[in-house]
Amino acid sequence: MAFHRTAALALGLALLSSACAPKALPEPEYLPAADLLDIVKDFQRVAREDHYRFPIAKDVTGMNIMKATLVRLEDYEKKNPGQFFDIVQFSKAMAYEKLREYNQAIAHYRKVATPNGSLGAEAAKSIETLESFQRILLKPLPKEDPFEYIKALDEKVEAWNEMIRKVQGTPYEYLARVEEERIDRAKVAFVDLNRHRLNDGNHLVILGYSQLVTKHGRSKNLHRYLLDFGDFYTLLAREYASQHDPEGLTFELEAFDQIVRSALRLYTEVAQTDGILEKIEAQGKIEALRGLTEKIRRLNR
Amino acid sequence: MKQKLWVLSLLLFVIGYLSLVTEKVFSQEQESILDKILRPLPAYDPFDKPPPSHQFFPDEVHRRVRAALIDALTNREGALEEHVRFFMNRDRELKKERGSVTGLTEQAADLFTNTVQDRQRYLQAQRQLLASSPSPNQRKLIEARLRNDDLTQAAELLRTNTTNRWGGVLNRLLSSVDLISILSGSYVGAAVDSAVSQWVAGDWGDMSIEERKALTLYREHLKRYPDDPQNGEVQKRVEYLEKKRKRVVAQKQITLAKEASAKGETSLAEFHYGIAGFLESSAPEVEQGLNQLRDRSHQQEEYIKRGLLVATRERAPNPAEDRDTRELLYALSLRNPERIEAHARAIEGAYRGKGMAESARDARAVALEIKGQHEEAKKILKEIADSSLDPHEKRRAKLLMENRDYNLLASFHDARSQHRLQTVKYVILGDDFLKRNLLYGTAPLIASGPAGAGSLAAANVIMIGTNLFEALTSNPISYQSIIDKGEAYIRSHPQAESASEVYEILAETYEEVGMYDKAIAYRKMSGKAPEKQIKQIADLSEKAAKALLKAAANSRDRSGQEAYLRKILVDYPDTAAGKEAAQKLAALAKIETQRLRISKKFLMENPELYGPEGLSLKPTLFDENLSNMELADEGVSLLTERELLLHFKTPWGLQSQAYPIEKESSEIFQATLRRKNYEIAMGDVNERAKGSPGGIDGLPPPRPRGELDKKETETGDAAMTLVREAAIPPTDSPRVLHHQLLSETEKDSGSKWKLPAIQGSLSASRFDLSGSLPAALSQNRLSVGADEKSPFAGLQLSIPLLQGFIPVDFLVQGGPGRLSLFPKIHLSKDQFPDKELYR
Repeated sequence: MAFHRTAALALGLALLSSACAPKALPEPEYLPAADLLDIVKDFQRVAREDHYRFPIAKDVTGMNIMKATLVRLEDYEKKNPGQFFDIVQFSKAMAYEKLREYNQAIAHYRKVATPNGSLGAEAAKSIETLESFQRILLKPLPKEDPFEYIKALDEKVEAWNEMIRKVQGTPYEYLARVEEERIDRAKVAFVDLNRHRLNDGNHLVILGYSQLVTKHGRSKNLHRYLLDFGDFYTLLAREYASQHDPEGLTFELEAFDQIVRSALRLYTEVAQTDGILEKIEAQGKIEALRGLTEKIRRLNR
Repeated sequence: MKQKLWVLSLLLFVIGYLSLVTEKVFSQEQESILDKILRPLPAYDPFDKPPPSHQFFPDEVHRRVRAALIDALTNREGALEEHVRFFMNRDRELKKERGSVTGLTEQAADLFTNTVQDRQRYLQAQRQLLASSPSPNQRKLIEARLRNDDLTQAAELLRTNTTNRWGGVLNRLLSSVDLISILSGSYVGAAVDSAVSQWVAGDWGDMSIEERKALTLYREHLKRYPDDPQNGEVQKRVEYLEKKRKRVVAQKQITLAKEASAKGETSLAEFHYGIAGFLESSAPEVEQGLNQLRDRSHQQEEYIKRGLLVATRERAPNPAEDRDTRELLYALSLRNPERIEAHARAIEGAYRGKGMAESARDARAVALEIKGQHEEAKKILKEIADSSLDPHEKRRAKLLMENRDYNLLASFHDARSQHRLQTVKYVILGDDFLKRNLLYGTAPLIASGPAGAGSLAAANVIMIGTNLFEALTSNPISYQSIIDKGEAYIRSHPQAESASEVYEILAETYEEVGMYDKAIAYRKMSGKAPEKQIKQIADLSEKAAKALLKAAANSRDRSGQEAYLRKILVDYPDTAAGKEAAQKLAALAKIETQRLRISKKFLMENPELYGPEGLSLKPTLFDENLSNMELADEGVSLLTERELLLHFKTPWGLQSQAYPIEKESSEIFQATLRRKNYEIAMGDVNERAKGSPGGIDGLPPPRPRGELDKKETETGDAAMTLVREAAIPPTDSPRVLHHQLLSETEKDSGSKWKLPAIQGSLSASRFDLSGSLPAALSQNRLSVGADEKSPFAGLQLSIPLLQGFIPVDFLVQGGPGRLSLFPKIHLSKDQFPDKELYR
């Protein structure tokens, strides 16, 4: 009798065990758009204008809304040829410009830019702005002299600044800021690549990164820049350890530590920010730096 | 009368004179006291005269020493052997003639043995040297060399691993065996308990830290001695351990991948399977797992593709409807919210009850979204999801509301609900409810039937109580998801109606996790009236300052302490902890704490440091007699190479005075300090792990190398830290560093009396609390508790006689009217550093 009761208890435990086992997750459920109105509503609902501060939003399927809209519009056009032509072209142009495909955007705006169409005036304005964008973007950069190259980049930055002032208050302001930011980042990358050819190259790179993170403190890419800045300090620390053998007498641990601390400060800033994916990267970099420092310290001991 | 007047005048004169004299004497005394306080030690010389320098007459022994050193440097094995013989003969002769020896034979032999390159011969030579009764320090050094041999160490580690593994199994078996009551006890309970414990522990497939370190050491050996005859055998062991290591690590990655896959985190699962694949590409589970993920991924892509398609049929053509739709589409394309709203309202009115009206209502939500009124837009969507008559619009609205990226507030609230649910689950079930119940419940249930349920219930009550306490004091369920979702919401919708509530909740959450600075910032951002927040912010500031104060106290690094204290003064100056921090920082900045301070106790424990071969301080400074000047507990501070600050104990408290020291004296002291450091390092060379630093704890690293500490100006921020850091305001107060040499008791005076960690332990038939006794009392363990029979108290005793044979301890437990005795195999604890490198 006692055995039966015990067996029943054991069975109960086993059942409880199976009840606590993880269940399979339900598959996602997506509903295709019924008409163009659904496509345009979904597009405009999440297509945030400020692409300088925020990344491009995702639609219900988890896909970039601009790319998703282009796929849907293509499908709509295939199934309903000629219907709402101007609206389809205008929406496509908007999606392309947010993806920074200005040529494609201009081409689609041109299809709508008839003087009497409801979207024509707006499309014409967009074409004018995007052509100005293209003029700045396509301005050639001198390849012979690095100083001339930097100068040309500075001129581009100035041109984008001018553009920002011109289109202030419109969605193009954010796009112009994105472009300006890209040139600023390119400038730092260029100095970084050529730092050994420049006087005080390392200092110039640090100055560049400092200016970048200060100027673009509101950008969606700020945390990326902080990590890159930290990586540069880490690179300097590694270079210092390569140039001055930690096991030798010329190596100064204090100098090495000072560079590492600068990197650590930047990584920590990112690692302390919640809700961003860069946090995982920053945590890993902090741990990697701990490993490097420990190794160098022991070699130097 | 005249006589009386004369007496009176004389009396007045005497009184006047005396008062003048007294006043003068008093003022002189006053001056003297004041002078003593202000300049207590003006003419005191704390130094003894330096001893006469050593006289040195080179002889044959000196010539031989020189030759031996040169031969050691040039690696001339034969010549060194000859020198050893010379010193041995010389010692023999000297002993016969004068009864004294050169004392150099040992060193010469050491020089000789260290030139041997072959491992076997080297070890043999070291063993021979050890057998020749060397000095205690030399013995330790030789023992360390023998112990640190890679192969010996690896074999020792593998033995420890085997002992621990089997010892663990036996302990689980023995834990149910009461030697005293075994005659009347139940064998069934013990057997079941042991079997279940072993099954639950299930650590057979794991690889211990000892095994991994042994693998590293074997590899090191192969690298160091490529021609060693034992290498064939070593190589086999390496291959076996390497295979095992790969299998274990790959298995762990597979487990992680399966966990991620079960949670639907496909990319994470793929990541772990990828790592497992690098380690064991042939593992069938990896291939199978990756195939499953690929299938799932294809399926997911199919779903997305389908979601991106447009329904094949448009609504039935209707010119009026078509015109209205077109107008609404124009407004939407131009992102003009007013125009969208106007058209949408018109359509809603015209097509009431039809799908078109519902679609227009949704367009109004889009208009609100464009205007930045996210929460209002969601309200419309919710209405559609709840009450729309059009099934398509209803479903779309519902899906959108359920979308994690769109409805960030719902995600945030979901995270909070999940957290609450997980906390309750943790309190009731703990983190391994079934495992624990199997462990504690199976044996009593099988052995005693339903009567054993009482024991199981008691165990569960204790588990729930412990979990509840833990959840209330420091909830182990992570708040990270709430924080991440909340941050994402306020980053996306900082101006939304609900942002204020989210800020509030985030402030509370940050407070829970001890991030008070963020809690304060979010409280301030919550938009509540400042007067309502004053108390909350003041409380948070106090908590934040206390936490920093605690961090400063826990920091062993002086610059770290300083940084924490400064932060308190900058961020929370008005708190009580802020005042305390100011005092602590002032104390740190005092001159006596600067540079290298050596406490009196440390000097007394190492008299050579203050004697003639050290600082040449007078011994009277250490005799506890204030009348002949006494050094204070603070000891001395070496300010520079040529300046020494002495801290004196005086009737007026601590007085410090700086004295110049001669260059020669300073150099003698540095040399003695280095020698002492070497001696201390030698003291535990045979117990320390190979390569770990020894010597005086707290001695700045440059000193043993014969370098002085760098001056402050040299270590200040250089241009490299630059620009970004240039914004940090410069500090006025002097930087404190530095280093101090303290005796062991001064470092952590209360440590040996600190209460050790106490653990709760539950077995099949009882529960108890156990913990190690304070180190000052004993190294044994103490336990108290109660089982189904009665309360008990017990003591785990090491049996010295058995330690070298079978390492067994006995747990003696006494209860009312009974005594129990449980044997326990003594397991080795990991003693080597850098354990994280072998995990």
